[in-house]
Amino acid sequence: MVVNNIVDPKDNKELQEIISKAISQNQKLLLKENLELKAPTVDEKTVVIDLAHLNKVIELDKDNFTITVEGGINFLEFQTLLAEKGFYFPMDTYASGHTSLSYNVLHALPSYSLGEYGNYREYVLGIEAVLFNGDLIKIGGKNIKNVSGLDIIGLMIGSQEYFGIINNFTLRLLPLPEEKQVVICNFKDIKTAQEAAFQLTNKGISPAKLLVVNTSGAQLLENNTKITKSPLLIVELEGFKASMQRKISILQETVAQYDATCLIISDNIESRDLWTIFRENQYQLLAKTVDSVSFSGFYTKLPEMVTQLDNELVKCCSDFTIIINCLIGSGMIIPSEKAGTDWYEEVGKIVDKYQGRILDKKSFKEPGMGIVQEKLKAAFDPANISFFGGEKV
Amino acid sequence: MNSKQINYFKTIVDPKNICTTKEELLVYEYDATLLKGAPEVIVFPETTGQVSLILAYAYQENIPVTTRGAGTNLSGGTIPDQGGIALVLTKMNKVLEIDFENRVVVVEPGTINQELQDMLTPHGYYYPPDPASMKACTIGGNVGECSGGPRCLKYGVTRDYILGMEMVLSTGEVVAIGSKQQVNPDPLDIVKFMVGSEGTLGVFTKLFLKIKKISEAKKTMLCTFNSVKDASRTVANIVREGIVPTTLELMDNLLINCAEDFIGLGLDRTADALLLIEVDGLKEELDGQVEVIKKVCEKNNVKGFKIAQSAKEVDQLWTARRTVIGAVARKRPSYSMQDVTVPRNKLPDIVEEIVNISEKYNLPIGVLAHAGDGNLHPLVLFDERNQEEVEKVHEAEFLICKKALSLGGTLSGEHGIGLLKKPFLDQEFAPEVLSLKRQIMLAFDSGNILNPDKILEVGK
Repeated sequence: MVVNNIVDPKDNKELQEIISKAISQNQKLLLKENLELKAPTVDEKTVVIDLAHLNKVIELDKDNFTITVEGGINFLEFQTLLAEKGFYFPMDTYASGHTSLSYNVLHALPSYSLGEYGNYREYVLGIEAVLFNGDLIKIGGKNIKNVSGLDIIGLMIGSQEYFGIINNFTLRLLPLPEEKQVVICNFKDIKTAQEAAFQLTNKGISPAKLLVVNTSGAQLLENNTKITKSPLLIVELEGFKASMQRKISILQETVAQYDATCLIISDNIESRDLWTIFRENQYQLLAKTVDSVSFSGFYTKLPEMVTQLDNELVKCCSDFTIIINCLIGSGMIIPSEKAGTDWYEEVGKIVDKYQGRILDKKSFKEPGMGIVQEKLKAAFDPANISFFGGEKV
Repeated sequence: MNSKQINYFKTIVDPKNICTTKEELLVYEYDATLLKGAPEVIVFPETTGQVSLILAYAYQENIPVTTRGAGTNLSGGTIPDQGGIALVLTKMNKVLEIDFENRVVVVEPGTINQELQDMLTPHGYYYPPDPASMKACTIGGNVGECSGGPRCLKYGVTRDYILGMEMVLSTGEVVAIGSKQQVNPDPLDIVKFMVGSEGTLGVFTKLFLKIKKISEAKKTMLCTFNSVKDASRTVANIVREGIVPTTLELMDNLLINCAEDFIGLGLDRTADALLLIEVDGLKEELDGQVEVIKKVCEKNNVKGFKIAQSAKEVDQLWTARRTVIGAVARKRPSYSMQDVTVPRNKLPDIVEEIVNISEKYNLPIGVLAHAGDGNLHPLVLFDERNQEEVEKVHEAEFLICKKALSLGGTLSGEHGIGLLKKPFLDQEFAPEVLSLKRQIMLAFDSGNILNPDKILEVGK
């Protein structure tokens, strides 16, 4: 695909001018990251915004544990920069190495640590955004608590470029944990891996990440020769040194009930590299297919649901990678290139059977809220310049 | 409202659930502020269907609807200042489902926060938001205001614990948003947006809450200081050391003495400030944190540092903290509680300004703060019968808000805007932000009948 109309604003004023021009010339807008991740069909009139130049750290406030930063900063570089200074922003997504902070927040890309660390809203304290009505708005600041009127920050997070572009953030930071350890356990099947994960969530050890992947998913760690290809439970434990040994012991006792074997990665560089490979492989897999699907389920029903998904999808269609974030009971299914189209319906049936829900990639889908959501869109984007905004309201 | 309209509600709910006498209406003129405004009818629905019919009729007849629970609101948000219906949800107070394994609870909005906690605690679970009024306030009210409480520093506010809801829109349409699962199916998070909307966007009829396991261990520390500045500095320094306590509460000398008069725990009456600090987690993690906190306190001239030695002692300390707001009534007949938030390192500055304001207006002002969050509740003590003093209270509170904003703070950390802070809203937000908020409110409630013109003037 050849895209001619890529613009890279140098400052917020330029971004506002680009959006104002799009409004007056009736052009659609989208962020550059979408070209790789969503592969939309854009015409020559569509304006593609690359925020790469808006990547400055404006202030790191060590007293208040906040950072004010421009939204174009690469998400992974941002986290690396923070870690070097002893701070931690705990969101970590498959697209971290490829996408900007703005893209991650606007699309609420699922973090592997959702659950223990909550979602983006808990960390975004202030924003500066250019709305698709042309207004530049500033809301919030360095305050951890803020209920001054309606939560527009919350509405912008996950708004998927329907409302505008956030170009400036003030974020709450956490102290870097004293210690981190990654434990990878091999299971004979995905059901027992899922059951062990569920047990772990009740043992008080609060893992930062708790993922289950099926055998295909184990290939996301392809370069690691120490890991056997089988369903895996991937656990990241972090916190105080004083309690780490007990956390590991609890984990080992729990998985031992299922005859699982574990590999403990204590070396920070080794665990960092492991996540880099995992993320990168998931991203590349996703970039190859635009048909992945996410779902949620009850903790108690996930072992059965995931087992059936793993078995039935292979029978029906092809090979699939399944990644479950056990802390929030949410999963992602990524089909192989041979999968065809029947699998989506099969997933829907299985997820329904266990009272789970398919997480729609498109927004504005809450049942019964259609009119309200359309009016909201009209308030933020009256000229309908959002690329993903559909028809004019 | 005319009698035909009032009588119509008797066809929706049991007539015993309608109040119209002057005495009955008087009771619902108030919340926990000094503001007043009488409804024309009080309706106690018992089902979602009834709420839906009431709203559909109110929408058709253009009747204002002020939804409330226990009326512990601290911003005037539940004052029916435009008359109309006081929609009281206290009879919708059932806990419909507790699912410990999936860590979700389904409640009706009139459920009292403490009663829910009492049902969860024996099973080793809790619902983190713990506002000071938790013995009386309802979960529906907590969601409407995005209530916080002492535990917010580590565990977040109400917004972080609402998974989904059943809600009635102003037209009477019933919608279900979110789910009982831990992740919202829609990235555009309308569920969380509803939290803190102060009854202006819809009426919650069922709420799906996330619950947590109680930590294995905790340690509670009581630290006294000779100056509020030292205590405030300690707060910022503890977090800077990489520790996120469960709670970090501050009380000044006036409030220490009020608490001591009330329950006589032996608190140091001469201390200028007290910090109540709690850490929780696995038991091995706590001693190290306590040691660091102690060192930080010592660096900031701590006067007394004590670790609670028993559960009873911990309970007593928390009783002192939770009852101090009521205890100030012994000092003066009336009090007004403010709610502003500043960046944590600005605590000493705002406290200094509060002391100046107290002196300038000759009004005793006690400082109570969820200090770890930078969220202050200055308690202004006065006599409501003295109009001149009331005027001074308004001026003093305006100055506190102004100072908070000048320090990069916000008008409200957890009480909301309601009527009380509405006049100041344009000091915090630019006209285009206010205009956007107005459009959003109209998107949900085109007739502007739900808590009309609370937060900001909406018009039709």
